[in-house]
Amino acid sequence: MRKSLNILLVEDDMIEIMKFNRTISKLAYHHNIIEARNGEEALDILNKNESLPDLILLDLNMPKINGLEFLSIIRNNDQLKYIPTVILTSSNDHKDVSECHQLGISGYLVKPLKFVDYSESIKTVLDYWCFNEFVQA
Amino acid sequence: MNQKKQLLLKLQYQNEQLNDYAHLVSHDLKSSIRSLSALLTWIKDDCGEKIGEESVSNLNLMEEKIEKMDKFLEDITNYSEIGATSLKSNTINLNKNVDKIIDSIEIPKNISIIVKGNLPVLKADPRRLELVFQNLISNAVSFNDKEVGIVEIGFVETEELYTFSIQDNGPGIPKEYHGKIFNTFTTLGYQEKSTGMGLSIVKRVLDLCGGEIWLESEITKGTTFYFTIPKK
Repeated sequence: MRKSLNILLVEDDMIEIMKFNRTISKLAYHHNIIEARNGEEALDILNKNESLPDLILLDLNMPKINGLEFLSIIRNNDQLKYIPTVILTSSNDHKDVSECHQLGISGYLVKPLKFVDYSESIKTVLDYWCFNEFVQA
Repeated sequence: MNQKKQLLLKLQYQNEQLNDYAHLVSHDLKSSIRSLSALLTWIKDDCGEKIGEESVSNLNLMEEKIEKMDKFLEDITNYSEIGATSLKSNTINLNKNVDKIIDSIEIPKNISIIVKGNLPVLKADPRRLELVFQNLISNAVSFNDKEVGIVEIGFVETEELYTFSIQDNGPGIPKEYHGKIFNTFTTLGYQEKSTGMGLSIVKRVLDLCGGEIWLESEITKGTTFYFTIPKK
């Protein structure tokens, strides 16, 4: 059955956040979005909140704790390691792709140039995760 | 440590630095370009009617420039990546790979791509070889000026090497440019979207694999690019 998702968006760029919210606002289904501006803020949110998000959308290039560091921290944390994490980045660097896969990710999305294409790919990702069963925290 | 070894280490370090630098710059610029592109789209969506036809067409021109910048950055990263990691030697079924490349290229309805015969199965670096085919085929497609455009991909093999050909019936390339087109940033300017990096990427890959590239061309009739991959 289709569920509404709790999504943690870890992204430092204001316009990227606007892009995401604009995409979400035009979807037929409602999702709950929590925003974090970098890895550190995201960890704070995860540690404070009692209920964990269903899905993390993670940018790689961020100040303080970057995406790869954040990923490695949550994959080594027994409480957090099952949260599906999809990378959302403009880097298709092979080193980044393989490091992320080694740490464990549920998807690696290279942001397309055009907003319509971006929206389409976000919509597709969310449409897929809507139908998943999650490990209950 | 002897001097030669030291020098090599230093060179290797500098190479890595340069590659990291290219990546960092291109990543940051790519992010900014994505932001600009989204904002532009929203302005067009939200106030296209209010600002009038001329402004909308100016915004469209901006969009085209942004697309070109993006392509440029992609080419720069591809170019700098070519020499950065060691060559792989995977078994590749070129029929499949070339089909995949053709699928990924935007091909106008008036142009058809024909693969003559069966392409070989060979050992090479898949990503780098893909850059060669992708750039040559997309050049042949996007520069084509004929009502019925035809691009033919063929190959012959000898004991030592494979020779591939990409033939088009496009505008042709004047003889005086045959040497120059493989230089970085050289474009003959027929096409708004060309970055002038494509053929230098191709050349760099082939240099690395020990292959060669040359062309035959007749003005208004078309061009054939030939390149070789040694069997080793």
